[in-house]
Amino acid sequence: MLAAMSLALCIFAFDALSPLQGAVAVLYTTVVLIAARSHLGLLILASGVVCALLAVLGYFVSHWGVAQQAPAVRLTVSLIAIGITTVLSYRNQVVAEQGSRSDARYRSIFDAAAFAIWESDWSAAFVLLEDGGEPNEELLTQALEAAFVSDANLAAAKLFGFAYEDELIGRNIYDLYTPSAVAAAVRILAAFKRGGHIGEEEVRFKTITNGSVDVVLRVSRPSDSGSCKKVIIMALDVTERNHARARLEKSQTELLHVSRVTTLGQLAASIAHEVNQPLSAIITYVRSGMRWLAREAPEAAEVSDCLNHIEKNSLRAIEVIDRVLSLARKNDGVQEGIDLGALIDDTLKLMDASLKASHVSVHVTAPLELPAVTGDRIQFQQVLMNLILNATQAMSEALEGQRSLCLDIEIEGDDLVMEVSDCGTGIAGDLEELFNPFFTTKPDGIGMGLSICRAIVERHGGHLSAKNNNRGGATFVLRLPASPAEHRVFA
Amino acid sequence: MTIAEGQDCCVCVVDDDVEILGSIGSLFRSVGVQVALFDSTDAFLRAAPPTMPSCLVLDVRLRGENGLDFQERLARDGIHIPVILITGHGDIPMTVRGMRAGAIDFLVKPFSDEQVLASVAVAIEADRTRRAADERAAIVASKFDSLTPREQEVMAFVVTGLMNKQIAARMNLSVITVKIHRGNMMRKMDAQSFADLVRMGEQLGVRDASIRRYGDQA
Repeated sequence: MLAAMSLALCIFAFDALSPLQGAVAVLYTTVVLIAARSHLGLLILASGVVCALLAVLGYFVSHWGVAQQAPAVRLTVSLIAIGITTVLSYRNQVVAEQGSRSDARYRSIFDAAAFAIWESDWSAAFVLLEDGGEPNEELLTQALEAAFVSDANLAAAKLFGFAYEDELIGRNIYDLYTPSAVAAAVRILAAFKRGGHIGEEEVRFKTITNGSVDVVLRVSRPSDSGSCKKVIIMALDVTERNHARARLEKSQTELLHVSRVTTLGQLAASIAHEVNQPLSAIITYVRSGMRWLAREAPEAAEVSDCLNHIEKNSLRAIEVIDRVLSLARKNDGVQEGIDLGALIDDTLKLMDASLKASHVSVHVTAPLELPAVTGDRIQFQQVLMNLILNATQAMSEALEGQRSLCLDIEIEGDDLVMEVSDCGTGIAGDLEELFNPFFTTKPDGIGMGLSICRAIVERHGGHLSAKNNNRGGATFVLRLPASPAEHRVFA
Repeated sequence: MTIAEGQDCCVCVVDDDVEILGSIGSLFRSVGVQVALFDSTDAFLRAAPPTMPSCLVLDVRLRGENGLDFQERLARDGIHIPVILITGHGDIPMTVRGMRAGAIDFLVKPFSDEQVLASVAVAIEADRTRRAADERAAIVASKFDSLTPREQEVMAFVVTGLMNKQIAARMNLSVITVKIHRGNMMRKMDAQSFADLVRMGEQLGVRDASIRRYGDQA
């Protein structure tokens, strides 16, 4: 301010008093430029006006009453120069003010947002990509190890378990990435390479307190200009939602189990009662008949009465069992053509949450063209669910990263063969024993699952067996005749 | 304990399953025991109550009325007959409830013949003992009813242990008159001794506990 004023005075003195015939007034533009450094629009305008007035004044002081053409032209040029400089400086200032206003707005949104936002420098990754690298885990690991958080808001810090933003800013967070987060970042990079602008993935990060958070990530592609490639990452914390979902899933599963067990229990109790009555009568008649025979004068009529009733009650017991069997046959369900691939997809979708909660990764391989199988879709789904659940439970002891479940479908002649393999503890003892009713290896199992599964598969003309893998774990082999075999149902 | 053939006793069986009913009937007849078979609780109640030592073999699962409820109803209505419960599934709470209501035994179908015969023998014996006691009590009560009101009053005072003089004072009679009433009363009650009379008084509940020989509270 002071500098600009003294400079203006110097120029004025020089312009008015020196005998030099030059466009000294042009130098006033530097005064305007100095004023522009104050970033105050009004001051820039004022300095332009004052300089123009000083230039005019200087002209009149040195050429008072003498109308000369050349100085007048020089004055005009100077005035134009001062004017242009002032207007340009002012406009610059206005633009800069708008920029800083939007910067400030961005900053306040960034800081106050309830969801986590951080900027991360992924330059290394983009450099490698531009050098023709393919987005893969190796490349990304290199890049992420070199990346650091250049900016973050409080929500981001809290997400990872820090107390303040400063603890996160400038830090490398590769150690907080889970394998799933790395894989997601690879997918996002691949999308950027294909020309996408925003990548969205649901991933899990570790926190510094050894916990974990589930987030929905949105990564915005950095601008193409400049060598610094900062990505803006937004993360919405869905840990609680996932926990709630997992809890719901768990309670639903438990409820289903309980209701199954109770209906089975009630059914068993009522069948037991129905069969117990005639058996009880039979035993008493047998005992009574023996006593009639043992008497000193055996009563042939009474003994024959006992035998008649024994026969009658035996038939009654058989009738009860027949009724139970026909009831079971009635539930044979609908016969339809089933696309096994679609059924597997649907079943895995249904079980997605529980598989995630158990950290099981599922790998499905199937030929492109699958013939349909004939049967009851619901029953097949029950079989599939049962096998997947068993595999999941078998792997509960395995390390989290190594729980993989493979569903492999192949066509062998007229049959479809599906193998469900886990890498759990394998099956100890007799493999066939697994399929016996009431045989269970689980502390809370009732030992009916696999026996029912086998019954369902065999009713559809198929076969279910188990084997231990060489590399550990067990495989259940489900063999089904492909349609259009003539529809067979085995009771 | 077993039931001797030809013993005067009767086993009542209530079960809505005629085959179970028939098989238990056949079993008891084969050992020479009288049975009465009923396919419902109502049929049992309609029949004349047994006059000889008897017991009731009762199924818990009945159409219409639960066996346990019926057992409690019998106790409420003062029908004394030992009950043996039989059930298709003897779960603990039912057993507990049945035994608490005074069941002799709880048999789970299919039961062995020895089991049911032994339980019935115990029940019949219990009923026999009860009937004998009831009979004795009935005789004592009829003797008491044959006393005049004065004699009954004297008996009530005597069994509390009051002396003749005290009784006379309470009844505003002379000691002589009291002695005459007392003699008649002892004869009619057929009491062998003072102790015998006190026992009968105890059975009849004629003793007034507020009256004492020493330190009157009346």
